[in-house]
Amino acid sequence: MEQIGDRLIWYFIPFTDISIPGGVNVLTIFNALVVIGLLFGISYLAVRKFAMTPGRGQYVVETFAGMFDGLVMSSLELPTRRENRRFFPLIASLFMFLLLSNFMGFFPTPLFLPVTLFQEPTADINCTLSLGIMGMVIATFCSMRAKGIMGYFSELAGPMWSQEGATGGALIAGKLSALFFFPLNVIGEMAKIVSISFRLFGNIIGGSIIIVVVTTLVYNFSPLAAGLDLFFVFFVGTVQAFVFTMLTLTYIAVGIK
Amino acid sequence: MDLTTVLSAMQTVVAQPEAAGISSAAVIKAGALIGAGICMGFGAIGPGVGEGFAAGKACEAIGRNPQEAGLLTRTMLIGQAVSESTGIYSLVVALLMLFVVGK
Repeated sequence: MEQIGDRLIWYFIPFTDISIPGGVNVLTIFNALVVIGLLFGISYLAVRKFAMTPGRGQYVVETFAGMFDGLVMSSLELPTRRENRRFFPLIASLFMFLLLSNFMGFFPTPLFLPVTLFQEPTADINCTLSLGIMGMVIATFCSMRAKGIMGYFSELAGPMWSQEGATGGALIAGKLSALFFFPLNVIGEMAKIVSISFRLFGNIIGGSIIIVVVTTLVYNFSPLAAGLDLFFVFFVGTVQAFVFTMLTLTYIAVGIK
Repeated sequence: MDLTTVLSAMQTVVAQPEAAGISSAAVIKAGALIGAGICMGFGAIGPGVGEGFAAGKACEAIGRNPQEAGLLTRTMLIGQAVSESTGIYSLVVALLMLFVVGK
């Protein structure tokens, strides 16, 4: 239980004197690379041979892709199928990455190793925060492209910025209301990043801490730990990966509508 | 021991911990641990009530319209996860107090 809150952080590149500013969490990067490798392997096996009559693996892959295709289309509701398809790789790969990342805590570490080898990359705030920033940057960019830069900022400036047929005092009051609405909306956009990334981070690290604490309380009675893993790793991990993906998709959809 | 004695003793401890024979790091640790408990306890009320309310409404809707159960469950889970985030913030703050401030 003493290992809770400990982080393996490298402040120097190994075997050199080159310092890394702020340090880097090695396990996060290692596990993210493991997840990426697993995804590459699974994807390679999945698309290696496609047949007209699908086999078992191809059926699973096609169901998954079709499900996310439908999800993207029903959320974005762009006029053509081609425009909707542009967001499909982002959403599907985000979900796959987060799903496998959240499952990484399930793998045990060999006993002879001094440190925990497998932990969730999403149990590090740097990972989730960067994913959240990525999602919001993409949503903001798509919103700017759909509405134009002036359209995007006039939406940030509040509902009374551009009103039809207002003259004189009403017009000036509408423009002045942007002084109130603009900071509020900008902070709201920032809060979206913080809320989406802290939700994933808190859920995953809270689950892993609860697993460690309860397993220590029952003297490492492993069937209970497996049962806890079923809920806190597999159920919560799946739901949170789905929620993160859906919220990113929703931010994009709200931005371009 | 009445309340005034307790309060004045606490005031002595908080204001002059060294004079009471307690190191100030111990006071900070005690404050962080108590704060973590209060934070998690009060922070768990809102999401608990809210998620239960959402689940109850989803049950009503599924009872009225059973063929839409999949869509309703999906929407309910997303809404619950969103409303859970306030509880998660308090969890993060409690973890900070436990493992960063109170270490």
